[in-house]
Amino acid sequence: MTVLTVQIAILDAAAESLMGVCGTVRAAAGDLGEVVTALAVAAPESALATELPGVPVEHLAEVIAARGQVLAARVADSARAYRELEAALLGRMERAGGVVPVPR
Amino acid sequence: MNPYVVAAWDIGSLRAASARFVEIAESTRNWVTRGEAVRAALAAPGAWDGVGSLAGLTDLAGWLGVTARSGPPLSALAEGIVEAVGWYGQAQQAAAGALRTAAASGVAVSAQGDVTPGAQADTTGMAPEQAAAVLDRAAAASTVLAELDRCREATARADALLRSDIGQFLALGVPGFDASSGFVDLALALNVTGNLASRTLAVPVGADPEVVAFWWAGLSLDEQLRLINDSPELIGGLDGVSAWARDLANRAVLEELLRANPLDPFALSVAAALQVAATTGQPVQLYLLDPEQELAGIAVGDLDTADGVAILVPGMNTIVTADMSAHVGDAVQLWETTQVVDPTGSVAVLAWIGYDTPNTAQAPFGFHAEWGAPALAATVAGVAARPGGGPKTTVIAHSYGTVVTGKAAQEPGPLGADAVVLVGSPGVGVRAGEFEVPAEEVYVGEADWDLIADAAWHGVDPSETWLYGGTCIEAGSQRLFGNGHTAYYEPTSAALWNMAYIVQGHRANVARC
Repeated sequence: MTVLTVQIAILDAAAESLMGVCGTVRAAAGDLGEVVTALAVAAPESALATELPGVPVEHLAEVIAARGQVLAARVADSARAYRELEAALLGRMERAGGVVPVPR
Repeated sequence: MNPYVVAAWDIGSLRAASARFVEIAESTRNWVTRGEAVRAALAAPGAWDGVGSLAGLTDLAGWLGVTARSGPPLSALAEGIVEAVGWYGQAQQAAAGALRTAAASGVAVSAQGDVTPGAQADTTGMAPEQAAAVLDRAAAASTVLAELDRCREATARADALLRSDIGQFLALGVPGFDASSGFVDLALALNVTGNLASRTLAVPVGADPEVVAFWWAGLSLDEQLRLINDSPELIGGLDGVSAWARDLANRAVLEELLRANPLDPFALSVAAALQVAATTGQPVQLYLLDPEQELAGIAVGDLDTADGVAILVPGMNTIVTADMSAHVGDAVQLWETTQVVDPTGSVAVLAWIGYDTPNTAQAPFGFHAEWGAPALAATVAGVAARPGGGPKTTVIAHSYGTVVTGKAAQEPGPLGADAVVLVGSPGVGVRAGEFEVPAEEVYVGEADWDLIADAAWHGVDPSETWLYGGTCIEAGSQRLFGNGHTAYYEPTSAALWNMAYIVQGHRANVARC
């Protein structure tokens, strides 16, 4: 275990959590779309049917979810970079047959 | 308002759906709480450092800000819907009551809400029993009319309430946000873009696209927007920068060009081509705009997210002022065909006029290809350098564009493409094995009646794949006579369908020859 191992664990967990939040937001986007449709169908000729479907509430949640996923991917990329760095350092240590200081 | 329609409104469903709307709107708070926990974990000392962590944390804070600011307008709209549903319920009760009373008393109600007979009754000369019946119907009609008035009033009140809430959501909560807006629009509208204004930013002009992509990904959204605003000419043409950012920058430059000269033929041609691309209803990105050299590139589809990307490299006599719309038309044709062969595969097609194409007299010589090759190589590398893994990239070269592509493969570093399609080629200058992709991923097609493709100005005719290498693909069209050299993107062209299969990664469907 290196100093990087802890950071990798934190980054992995953060990326996973953030991805989970985005999954919730994306599901909510779908629910909003269904709710708007249900309202429009239940009251034809009302403003619920003529005006509400044009309001981009579903799109709003989708945009938030998509951006969150980009950020989660960025955190996951950092974890991957740390993991590669750790593997390289461990390899170097093995080749050196001893301990190599781990840069922070 | 048709009382029969109102009486049939499903108020139970309305109540259930509006309650669900409230729940979802309220859940935005939970999203923010969970996101805050992630941000706090990442911001802890020693948790996340290195290049890009500061920008990453700033962007995360910006995302949380936008999410938090989106919640209240959504909740206000949800509460407005609940209130409106209450009024719609009253309207429904009134309409149903009116129709019940009318049915029980022999009063007719039209779809427009007219009541027959009316509330006024003239019993002159009637027998007492007949007069009593008429007066009863008139009294019932009066009740029906009163109920219908109550229905109209409640409906109008609910509609007005809802319109007002919708207006507030659109105008005050999230101004300017519509179905075509992205996160950047949202962040700008809500004025939440993070805060790193003090950091000095140096644009790595001339660096490799991979380096540029790494640098760009390490900036916060606030910094990216600042650069786009301050240096649109630099950002718009910098290979490695995200397509959304290049689009934003290049559109700003285009707007400025048109403001300076509304009749600028270059700017007008690009603007017209953007309109052609917009007919697909897909995202359209102005990926390249170089007014000095009169070069441009327009993508149909989102280059930042598409699984498959095609870059169309044109041949001789292709200039922006005359041919941009037609070149984009080819891109639209290919994009639409990719969606026919596989509607689930996301694709972006870049119509690229990114080099100074030769005229007919210059085409037998390689100078223009030499000059254009570095730009094409950088464009392909820029698309492929997307953070999180690039798309499957296919370079589709036509005519002299195949020569440019051959030269691009000879530029330092790998070409960055996954497949190359050569159509109507007058020779390429390099063999299939020299494209830095597996030789079988070099696809060669030649239509009937394509005399240019037989010119062999630049070496071996690649359609002779037994000699050239690569994979021979069918490229014929239903154009019986005439110039087959310009038929490759026609809907009846086998080349077009083969290109679509290749871009979508469906190799087994490619018609080989």
